[in-house]
Amino acid sequence: MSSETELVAQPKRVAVVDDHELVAMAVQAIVDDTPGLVFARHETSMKSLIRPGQDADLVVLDLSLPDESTPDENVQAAVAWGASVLFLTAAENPFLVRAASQTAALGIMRKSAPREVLSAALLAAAQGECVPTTEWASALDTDPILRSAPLSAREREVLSLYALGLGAREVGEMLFVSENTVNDHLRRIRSVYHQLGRPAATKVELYRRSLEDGFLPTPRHG
Amino acid sequence: MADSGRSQGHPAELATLRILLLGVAVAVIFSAVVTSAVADPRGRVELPGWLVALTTSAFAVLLVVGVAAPWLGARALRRGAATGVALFFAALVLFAPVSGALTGTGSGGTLPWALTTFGGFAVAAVVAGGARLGWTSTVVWVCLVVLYRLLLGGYSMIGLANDAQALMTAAALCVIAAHALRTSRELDAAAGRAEQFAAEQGAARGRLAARARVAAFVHDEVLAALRGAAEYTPDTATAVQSQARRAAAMIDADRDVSDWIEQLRAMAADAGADLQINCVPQALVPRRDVAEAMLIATRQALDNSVRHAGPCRRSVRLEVGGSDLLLRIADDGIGFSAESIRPGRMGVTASIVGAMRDVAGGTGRVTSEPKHGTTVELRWAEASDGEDDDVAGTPGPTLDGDRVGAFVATVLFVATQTLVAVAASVTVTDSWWMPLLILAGILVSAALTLPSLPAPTIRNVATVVLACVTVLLGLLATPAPLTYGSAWFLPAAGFVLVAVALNARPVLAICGLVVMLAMLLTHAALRDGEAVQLVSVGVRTATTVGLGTLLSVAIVRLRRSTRALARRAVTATEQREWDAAARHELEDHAAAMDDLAGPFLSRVAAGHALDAAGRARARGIEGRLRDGYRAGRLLDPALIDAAMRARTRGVDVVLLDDAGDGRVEPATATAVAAWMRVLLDEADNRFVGRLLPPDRPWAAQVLVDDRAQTYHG
Repeated sequence: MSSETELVAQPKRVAVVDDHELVAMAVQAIVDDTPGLVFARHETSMKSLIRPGQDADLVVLDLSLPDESTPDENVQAAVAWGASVLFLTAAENPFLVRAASQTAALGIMRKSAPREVLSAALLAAAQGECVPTTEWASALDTDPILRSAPLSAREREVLSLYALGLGAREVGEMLFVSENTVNDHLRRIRSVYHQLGRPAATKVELYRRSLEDGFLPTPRHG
Repeated sequence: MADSGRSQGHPAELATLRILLLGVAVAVIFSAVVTSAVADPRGRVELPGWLVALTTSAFAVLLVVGVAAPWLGARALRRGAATGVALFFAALVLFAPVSGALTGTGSGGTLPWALTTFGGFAVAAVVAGGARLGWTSTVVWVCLVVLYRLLLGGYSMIGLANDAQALMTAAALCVIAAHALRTSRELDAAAGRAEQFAAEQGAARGRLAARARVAAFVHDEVLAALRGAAEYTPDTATAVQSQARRAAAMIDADRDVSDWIEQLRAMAADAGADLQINCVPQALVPRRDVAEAMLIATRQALDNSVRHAGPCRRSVRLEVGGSDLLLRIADDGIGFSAESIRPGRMGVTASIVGAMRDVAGGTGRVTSEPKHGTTVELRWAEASDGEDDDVAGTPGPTLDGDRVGAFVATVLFVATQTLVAVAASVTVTDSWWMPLLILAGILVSAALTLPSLPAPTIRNVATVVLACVTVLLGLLATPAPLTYGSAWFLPAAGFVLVAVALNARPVLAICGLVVMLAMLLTHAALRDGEAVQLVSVGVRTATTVGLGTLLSVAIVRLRRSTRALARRAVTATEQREWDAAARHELEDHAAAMDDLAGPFLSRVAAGHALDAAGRARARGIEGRLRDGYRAGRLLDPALIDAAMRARTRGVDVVLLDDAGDGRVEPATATAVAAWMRVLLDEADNRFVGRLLPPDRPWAAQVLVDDRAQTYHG
């Protein structure tokens, strides 16, 4: 039996954890229109999602929930429950995106991304594939700690082009390599970034992060 | 207990007082050794037991205070030092009737050695009453000693050399001790300012972080509403309206902070205070951060009054001018004394004064007297720097005292050494020029330590070498047996080593001392000197250099700490500027939210139908608000307009300022924005504009639909 047949036979269940009903409705509309996916339910916190009897394969998780939970805790809870995670974010705050990139989540999507892009991302994530996006690549490409990471020049080039909004196919064409090679580079970048961890923060850094945690950008005009 | 409070507030000064008196204790031990073991008792006035006891008690008090210094507070140290000095002068004055010097009935003999050494007491006098008392007591001491010497039969070469070097020792230690204390006060003042600054900043950061979280919450709600409006369908109509209502209400609540006078009125009512408001016709409307700071400070002042002032009348008076504000919160309660508020502590200083200082042009002043109430004055003026506040700033260290002291010590050094050298030249039978040649060596080596000369390391090494060579020459040329008088050049060279130590070269100074003492010992072994005389001259030199070096090390450490604090202050200032910039960002976001999203969401909340144009408008506003967080230096008005147009026609636009903290010239940012604007107008489906990190070969790149382009400048 081919995997395609398997997919049709067993659609992947998608749950949404977001404090806004509108977001859940939008995701549900996309899921309903995407073959191979079925909407499971909507909850406003990870705590209320987790219950005996796993009924979702993919959790679409708000990156910034109003409760005291952190992205990392929520991802760990979902993974322990047996589900994969795809983050949704309202604004592309690099700090939060970087924090999310170091979790086991498969990707970070902008809520305002075009419908077809969101649909493709949901489908890929439901099948356990990583979902590299412009927001993810941009946040990593500008992360100071990645500067000293053991990445090759080609990998850095791939990351930079991805941060520009190009897909794996376009990047491959520009660099004269196959789409698979680009995906290999992206997987390795993701793996290296996972291993980096965050360095011990100074007080100033902690303070800045606390501000950034509130979606405040670092000053650029001051 | 008050002493403990003062000590805690001035740790560097307390540590310096302790070091000074510890050094004095060491000097006392040396003096005791010389007096009891080796000082030559011949030819000295016979003293009664009670005067010996009085003299001994003066030394003993300094010894006890010095040994116990690590456990004593500043006041106890000062009192102990003062007691020792007083006992010494009592013994010195009472020596007059005992010796018969004043009545001319003296039995012959001269001053006991213990009364002719004053270095330790000079330091104790500085500790007890500052440089002025140190110098005064030194002058009184030298006058009495000279008087006694003259009345008791005149000066011998040994007596002259002893008094000259003792005077020089006292003068040098006066200068160094006063300088050390002044430096320690400077450090305490710097530390106090740093602590106060940190406390104020902590409060400001807390407010800013809280503000940021509130803004983020509002932002999240608004974006959700706009996203829903952009994706509006009849199925989601109710949810969109509900979310729009919620977001609009949050914007209104956030905006309420600007209606600060109403909040002031509420606060005054809560605290039972009379409120009076006077506005000029063209009264200014304060900025949001100014209003927030005023409200925070007012709340703190009223809370303090309610909690601590007891039953009293409270009043709040606001005067709004054309370009300034004055808010006075007063009560006639029990008040408090200024001493009860430690500088830098959270509370009145940090919360009230700090809140006002945090806004440019703001000042806060708290005045209070026990039983006469408390008044808090908050001022803000548009063009003011807002530097003065209620903190009684410790006056900055004045270098004048140090400079005058150093000048006097230098003149005294030249005068005393010249006097002794000339006396030595007169007393020797042959080679009269040799003491003058040695004097020249001492003076030249001393001149090399002057701070105005270049190449400090080489100069200081040359100084020590020249001083050692001079001492060697002196030892070779002086006929045996060596006496305290004929070896005058050794303590003189010791003063040169003290100057080297003060030039931040303590190790070099100690090396020089070791070499000199080794030469003295060699001389004694080879040429049979009198032990009493050799030990006296050796101990004097070692004590002077040792004390001078100890204090110079303390001064260097104090200076280092002061410099470290200064560096911290620079970092804190940078942080403050960062905070100010962050606050401005918040204000910009709040304004954008207010202007763009507020009216639109209000219409949606009121049930206005969303047609295609309305949905496009929602997309445009949502993108614009996102740009506020990620577009950074690309927030150029023309580019923003182009992005709004593109989003309205369905283009997915992402503007990213990824240059981070890297410096981007405003002209470059403007040129990049202009370049992107042209390309943005060409986009049909998708546009990503990216200002690149500074380590990239290009400043910017864009993706227009599927075409990547690079900005080459």
